[in-house]
Amino acid sequence: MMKQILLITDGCSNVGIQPAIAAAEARENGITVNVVGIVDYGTIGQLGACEIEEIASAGGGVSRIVQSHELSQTIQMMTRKTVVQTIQQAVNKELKLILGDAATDGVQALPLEKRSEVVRVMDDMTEQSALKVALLIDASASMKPKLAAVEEAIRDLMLSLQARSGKSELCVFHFPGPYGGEEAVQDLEWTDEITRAKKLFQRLNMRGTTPTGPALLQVIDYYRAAPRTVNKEAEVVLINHHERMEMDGVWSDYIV
Amino acid sequence: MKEWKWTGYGVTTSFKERRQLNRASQKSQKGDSHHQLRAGMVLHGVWNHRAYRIERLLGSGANGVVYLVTLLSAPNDGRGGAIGTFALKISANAVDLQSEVNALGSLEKQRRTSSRSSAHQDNRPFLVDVDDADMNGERISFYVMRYVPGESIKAYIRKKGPRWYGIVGSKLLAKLHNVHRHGWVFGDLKAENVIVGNGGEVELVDYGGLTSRGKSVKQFTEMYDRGYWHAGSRTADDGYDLFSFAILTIQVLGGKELRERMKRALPQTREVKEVLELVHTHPVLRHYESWLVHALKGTFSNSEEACRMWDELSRRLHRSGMRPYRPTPLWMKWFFAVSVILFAISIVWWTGIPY
Repeated sequence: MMKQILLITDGCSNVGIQPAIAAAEARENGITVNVVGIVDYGTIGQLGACEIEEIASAGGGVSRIVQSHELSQTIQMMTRKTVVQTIQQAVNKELKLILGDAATDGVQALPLEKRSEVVRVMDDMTEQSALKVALLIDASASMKPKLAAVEEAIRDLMLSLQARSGKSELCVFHFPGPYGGEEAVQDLEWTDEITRAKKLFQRLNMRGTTPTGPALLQVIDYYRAAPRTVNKEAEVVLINHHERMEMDGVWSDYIV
Repeated sequence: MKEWKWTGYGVTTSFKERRQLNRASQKSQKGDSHHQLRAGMVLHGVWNHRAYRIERLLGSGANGVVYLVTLLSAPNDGRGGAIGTFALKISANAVDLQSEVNALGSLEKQRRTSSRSSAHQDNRPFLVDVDDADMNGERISFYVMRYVPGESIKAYIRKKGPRWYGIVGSKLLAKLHNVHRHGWVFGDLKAENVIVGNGGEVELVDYGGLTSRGKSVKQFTEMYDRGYWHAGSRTADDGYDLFSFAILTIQVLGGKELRERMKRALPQTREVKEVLELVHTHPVLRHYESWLVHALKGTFSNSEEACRMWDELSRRLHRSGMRPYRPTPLWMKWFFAVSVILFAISIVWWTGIPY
């Protein structure tokens, strides 16, 4: 199972724990954190841009600053690319174990026929592995004009996830809570139905605070609370030459 | 995490959007700079031992850069001359490139086996070579494909006039049908990816979106994407390409009108209905309406049916009194401008004389 958190924000956090620390905790729990900074007029500010980059790098993911009309495309790409990259990393690691230092180039160390075979398996994994994406939306006052674009982007992401053959689910949180507290509010539980992703933020009471860090922690807890998949001994037979590649336990029950 | 690049799977973008994305990700773009090859450089294949000389840049897509190259004969056979011209694609990501090669390779294999039984026209190989080369101390992966001289379908129709679209469209649909017949979907169909050769032959380029039927479409461009228009899923099927083909038709024959309409529409209200309205009122697109409605609404049962219907429509169109379109040649415009100026000068001259 691959786990991702996608944070969509437009500025700096100002309440609670540093979001980068929360993101580091997510990474410890096998969750990749990607961040999209959304900006329509002017810039996001030096401080905000810095924080966004910091959160992503602590969370093992990537960050982008885009305008709201690019949002759908950006998060669609980030999600898919993160899946691909997670698989590539795991495969590269295994290749290194098998081939030693020769494998610093990843699959390029393999001769063409074998490479073709390995990449075919990687493609299948990209398509078939289970995937969970938790969206965490900054709904502080300044985000209000962008929420329509965020909703559209969620619909778009859902559409891409539905097209995969693997089980793909999505959940949505926003912060701050109704009384301006530190807690995030869940808008959508794990789901793969696109119809549920409509009209998410209709009756939102927008507040000024931005407790990004605490909200991230809450999403991590939600991931933890969800029933764990049985962690079988992770074994994947990659190549028909019976080279067994041991995975990180990321896609524990994937067997080719 | 390894350096992130905007290459590989995902959405391909228009040039303008790409420029914006690039600006936003300049840092990571720097890593790609060493893949810029200069004309005259020679790539030596590590596995198959063929050498290619770079001639010029042909274009860059979502997941790689394509160069025009000359295949050189092996230097030890005494000749060392050029053998042929090809297109060579380099990608920063070996996995993405290999994935594309895999898809192309199996499509070719299926084509070859089926063309043996039924004498099908299209059996020249598209994929020529796959290899690695060492460049500036780094190993880069590339593949070599057939080079198709020509221009994009948009430029071709602009030059020749919209009446040619019936024939060109029919050839393009036949190409797509040939891909579908073997269980694949092209995916990233757009004006830039359709080349019309000097002899009027149509060729698909950039197979980065080639997806086996039933899987999720690997690469697409927002404007041509069925999901973007709230008109269906992103699962690869015949209808996905046919939808893109409909948008392509609108782009080629009424691109300006479509852009104007898009500017007004909000993303939440973006709907196929808008496009259908445009088709209904457009002087050229109107003729293709009966076909476009099926493609946009996804009511074709398969691409064979779509091909048949298109051919009938275009046959009818050729025999109807559709107003011929002949653009005024540029020299004639200039000639006219010069004669107007001469006329003005002569009037001034003539009225000046009695004084």
